[in-house]
Amino acid sequence: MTRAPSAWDEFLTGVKEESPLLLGVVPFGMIYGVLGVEAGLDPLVVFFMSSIVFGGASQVIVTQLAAASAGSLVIASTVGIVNLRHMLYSARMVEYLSGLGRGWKIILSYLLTDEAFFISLNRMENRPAGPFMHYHLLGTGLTLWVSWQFATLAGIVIGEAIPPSLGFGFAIPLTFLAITAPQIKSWPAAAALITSAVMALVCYEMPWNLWIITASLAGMAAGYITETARAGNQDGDNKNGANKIGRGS
Amino acid sequence: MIWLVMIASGLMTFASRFSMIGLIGNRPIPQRLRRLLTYTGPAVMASIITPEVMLSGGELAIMDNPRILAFIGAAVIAVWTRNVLATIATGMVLLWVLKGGVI
Repeated sequence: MTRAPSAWDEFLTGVKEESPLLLGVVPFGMIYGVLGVEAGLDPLVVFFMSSIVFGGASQVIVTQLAAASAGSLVIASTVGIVNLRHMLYSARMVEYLSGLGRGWKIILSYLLTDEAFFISLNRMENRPAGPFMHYHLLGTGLTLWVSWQFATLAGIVIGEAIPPSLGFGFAIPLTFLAITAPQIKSWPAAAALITSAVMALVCYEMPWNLWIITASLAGMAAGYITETARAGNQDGDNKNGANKIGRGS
Repeated sequence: MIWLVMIASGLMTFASRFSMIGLIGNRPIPQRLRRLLTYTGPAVMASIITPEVMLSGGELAIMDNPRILAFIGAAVIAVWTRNVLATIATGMVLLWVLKGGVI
């Protein structure tokens, strides 16, 4: 039958499969650049954050909180919470990368963004394993990385020219909306969303911008509890599912 | 200071991506933790989005707030097309139209 694809084949396949996503990623990177400049950050900070952090949501949050003069500890812990989901990606990838050396693991972890993960996971799970399959992740990851740097640079240049009166800050919630909408596929996910939204408004007066963490944790708990309650309703012969919420959580 | 915050944020981001691949290895995440982590996406996003859209100068603004309608319109497009660019474009254009002009 066909032989296993070479390293170069795998890499190119990764690049090719990642490319359609650039339609969303490039504008996001540009918007980040524009927002960073409009928030009053040093353009150098805005630019280097794209390689030092290399995560769209985290970068926008750092920008936003820094502009609101939030404390360093609050910014760092908010970014920490936002990034928890990457642990799941890391866990899914580990079996496909376990044979690699330390250097590879560091590089591929650095490149493990949402968009690279989902595309490369599809290759790992649905096509035959090969000795060079990690090159696929290198391909998707590097494609994103290079585009992200250029998009940021373009955003910084454009941002210098855009007057704040255009209300471009509204692009932040819109970008997050576009990222989040496909994730709301279940009742527990909807419960997490709604709980967090309400809690964010209720807790907005909390000191040190702690509302983000508080509302996020409440939303995660709501998703977890809803899922537990629904599982309890489906599995058990006890019709009163409410009893099982306490037991499961 | 901003540089320190940025480097700390970068390290945190890397740490979460490296956690399983490089440190913990091929051991299953406890089921409960896994389930909790599943909901970080919607929960975090909602907490950031909502005040941006619903508050004005720290106060709840429902009436006379073009961002809410613009956001709802963009949400319809987001669910329908799942296209980042179309969502942002719809929201921005709606906002400008509802505000009665760009400037």
